[in-house]
Amino acid sequence: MISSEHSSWTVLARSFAALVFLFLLLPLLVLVPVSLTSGTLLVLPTPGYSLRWYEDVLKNPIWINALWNSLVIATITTSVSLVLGTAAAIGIWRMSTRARGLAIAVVSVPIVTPAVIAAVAMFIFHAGLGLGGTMSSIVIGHITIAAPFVVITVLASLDVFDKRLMLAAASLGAPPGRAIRHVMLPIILPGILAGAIFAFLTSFDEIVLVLFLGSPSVRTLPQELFSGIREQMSPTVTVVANFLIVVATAAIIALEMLRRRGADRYLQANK
Amino acid sequence: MMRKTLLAATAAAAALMAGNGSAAARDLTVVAWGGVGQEAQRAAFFEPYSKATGKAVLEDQNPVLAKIRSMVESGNVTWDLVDQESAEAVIGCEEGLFEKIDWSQIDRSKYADNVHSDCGYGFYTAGNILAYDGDRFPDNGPSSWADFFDTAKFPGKRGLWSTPKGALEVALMGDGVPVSDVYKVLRTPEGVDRAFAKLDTIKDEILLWNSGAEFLSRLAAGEYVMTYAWNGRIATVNASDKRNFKIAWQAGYTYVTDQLAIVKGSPNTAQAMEYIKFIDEHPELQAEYTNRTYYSSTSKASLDYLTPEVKENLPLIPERLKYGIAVDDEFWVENLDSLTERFNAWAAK
Amino acid sequence: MAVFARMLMSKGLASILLVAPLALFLAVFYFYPIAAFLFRGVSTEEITATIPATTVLLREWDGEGLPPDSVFAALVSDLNASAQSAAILGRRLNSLEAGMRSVVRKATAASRDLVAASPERAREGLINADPKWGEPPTWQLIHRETGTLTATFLLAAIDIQRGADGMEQRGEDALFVPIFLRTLVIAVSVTLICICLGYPVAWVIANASPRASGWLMLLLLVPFWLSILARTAAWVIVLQGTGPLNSLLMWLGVVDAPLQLIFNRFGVILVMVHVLLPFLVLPLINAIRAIPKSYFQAASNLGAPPASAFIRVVFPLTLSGVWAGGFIVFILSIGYYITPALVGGPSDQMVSTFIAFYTNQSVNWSLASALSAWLLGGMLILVALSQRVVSPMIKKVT
Repeated sequence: MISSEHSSWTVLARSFAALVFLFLLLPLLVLVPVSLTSGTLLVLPTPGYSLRWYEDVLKNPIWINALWNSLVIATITTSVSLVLGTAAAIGIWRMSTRARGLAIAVVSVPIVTPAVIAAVAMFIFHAGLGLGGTMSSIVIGHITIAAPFVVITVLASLDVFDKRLMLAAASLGAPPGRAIRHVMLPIILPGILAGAIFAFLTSFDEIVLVLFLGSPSVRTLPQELFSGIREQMSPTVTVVANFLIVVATAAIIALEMLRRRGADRYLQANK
Repeated sequence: MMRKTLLAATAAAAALMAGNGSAAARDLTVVAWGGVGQEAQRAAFFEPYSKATGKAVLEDQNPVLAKIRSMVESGNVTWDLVDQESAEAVIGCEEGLFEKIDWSQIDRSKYADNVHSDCGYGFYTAGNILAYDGDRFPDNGPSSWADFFDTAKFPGKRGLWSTPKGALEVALMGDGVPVSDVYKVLRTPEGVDRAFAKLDTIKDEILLWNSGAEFLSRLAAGEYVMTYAWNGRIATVNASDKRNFKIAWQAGYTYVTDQLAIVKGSPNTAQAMEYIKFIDEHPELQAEYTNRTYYSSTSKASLDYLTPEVKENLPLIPERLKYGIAVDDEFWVENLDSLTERFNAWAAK
Repeated sequence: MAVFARMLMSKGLASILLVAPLALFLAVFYFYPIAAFLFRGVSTEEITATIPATTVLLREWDGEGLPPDSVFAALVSDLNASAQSAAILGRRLNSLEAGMRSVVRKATAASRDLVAASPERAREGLINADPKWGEPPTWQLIHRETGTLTATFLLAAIDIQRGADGMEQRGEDALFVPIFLRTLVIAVSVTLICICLGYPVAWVIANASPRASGWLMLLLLVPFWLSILARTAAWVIVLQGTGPLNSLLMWLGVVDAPLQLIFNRFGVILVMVHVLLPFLVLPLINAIRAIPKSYFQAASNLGAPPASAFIRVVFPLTLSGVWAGGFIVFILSIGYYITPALVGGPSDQMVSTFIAFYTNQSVNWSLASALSAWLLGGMLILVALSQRVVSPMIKKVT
């Protein structure tokens, strides 16, 4: 790092950063021993070790149902958000700078508005529509917060997209639809896929809307975890948490690979 | 290719949204208080009922009355049968939150006295007791509610349920009111003030819990040295988690009957009544529940199926009853709302 | 088809067509429900719906003395119509004036026998049930809350009580103002702690070799993407009385008895920092990377020791990144609900908890709406301030 490579400042900053990383990661380790407890409490130290809670999660229809509901909701949310979000991002990208700023501000509102306010408002609105407690209700709620993420990630990849390519396609006689499909989409594909992963995880991990919009017949994984921590306090939550750590790590590695591929493409396109 | 996939996904989404628009045909949803109590209901009632009728039972936890109000008022009823303490069952009945039970279908003489109400089918009676970790106080553990409020003699945090029902009673017991006079005192405004004043004396040492599982793990994790607790949870966790939790029955306790109530506006009222009938017709299942939880069963016939060990540890055995008093439903029906407000404000300060 | 394609070529229309589906979706399913919900804060609908006939007559009443007998008769028939509505009315009025629940309850009980009675008998019957029905302030309260719009809930959400004798700021027993302040304090503390912890991390990642920084980013992102509930479960165990942290402290001899680390303010702030830290670090990394390395070198060549070079040259250049990250953390933490609910005690709950409470526990949607309006309004003001005042200031510095 520049001229102060070996200064005490660098050492200090690095040790401090190492401590912060420990703070971020170390707590997650306790999930492993508790998930292996032979007791029934979410408590360390454990009275003994067993695999009973792993068995419980695999056998108990509650967790399997919740996982299935979460996957279905996240998949539908992602598909719809991708269509709505990608189209909107391309539209916003074509706008004048001023209109673009306004559009981005509007789209960001669902990201920064306190989730509880949106959840309560939708809870009342959906109950009035007769949608209360259904899966559709949760999916609609999730699209409103997932689609903005797609817009923002796709816009980011459009920022590095060279507009002249579209002009070139048009001058070669390609209609705009074809130009978008064959020239633009392949190049911004990593951005779209990153948006898909964002949207999927946003829905898959979402808890506040689900607490208000869900019902016992449509319980999601986060909802079971919430009541697992708050009401049941059973070691099964640590089993599921461990599973989620594996899923999150896989998703991040996928994202990282997309990012690298995107960077490669960008470099190639600009050669 | 991409477009086709997206189109297909959108079509599927649209179909799904159109498909489950109505909330009607769903499985019977029974709501209890989580933890081992809920597990015991699953083993003793949900599963046998499903086996006998071929109908699935959905579950949820923590059926607090306020949540039921919100469901009924918003027209978003997702619960069918809820496990309510008797006072709440009566309040909900008055407010039109619960369906009246068809008592012509059930012979009330088969049950102990005062366990049912218009909207509530009483199916077990729990003791609200003083519990502590026997490993922490091997001898001379807390033996009275006065000890609960004595932080000099027993330093450390105490657990209380986050509701005034129970908390005010034990506060008075802790302040020297004999168990039999608790409601006499509580019925006067000075009595209520006295209870709150007593709670105030150890406000910083009180941690509130919201569920049975919570007080157990917090007692096990050493966050509480003692807690107000439901007797069944204490008895069962000793076996499952090699704990040495103790109940101080002689400190005085209240007991309360939990009743099943049918939520107004439920699409499954007929099936809910069928479920209640099912429990009514199977005293051996009630006994099974009691054997698993150490809560007293309500049907007289169920007593024949209890194990001797369980019989000795129930809240309603004669030699113990002198320490106990039934929760006064009349008092709480009248005062639960206003005292809950006051209690919440007290807790949030 | 060709015409359609040409239309698409026209820049403005195509953009609008592309944006329209999402815009429409958000308008219908996001912005409309929120607007409708916020309107409840000033609407009287929740009370008027319980006593429709009485409302119609009361709106014609001048508010002086007692209303005409026909109003009493209308109330009797309204209360008889539905036990549930009567219970709602009692609770609503009780939230405005203590004691009204039992006043309404008695009237409900009495009205069962008054269904067919004449208006005069209805009046006598109600006053008999509870003398409060013979007092003008009771009726003025109902009159005020059955108009077209009301400010009662917006005022109640900042602890101003509206009584017969005007407004009154609640002092000792103030409920919501302390909660708004508490929310602000927690959000500010979390933001400041995130900045202190996050800055060195961002600095190290930004200055590491590309390979190392890739790995460090991964380590940062694992907790970022991990379900907040999984992380909370871990913290519940780490912080509990017999948990690893307390065991460590006791083993080190720092404390003799386990410390209370969870279900209090400490636990809430700690877990919130854990959740929100990456939101601060990510934008900051970009800001630090954007500093031309020559700046730092130049300062150093001119003889400034590293510390002063950092404070005078480098730090101001990263201020925009600190601001961007800190602002996101602050905005997100001000609306926090899950963490306080799971690891906080009753005195650590933030405004969001009370919005949820008044929605699905106390069923007072008007008050939930009024609290939301103040929270959103406050956030909007802060966003506007940051745009107008702070951002230009930072630009000036950098």
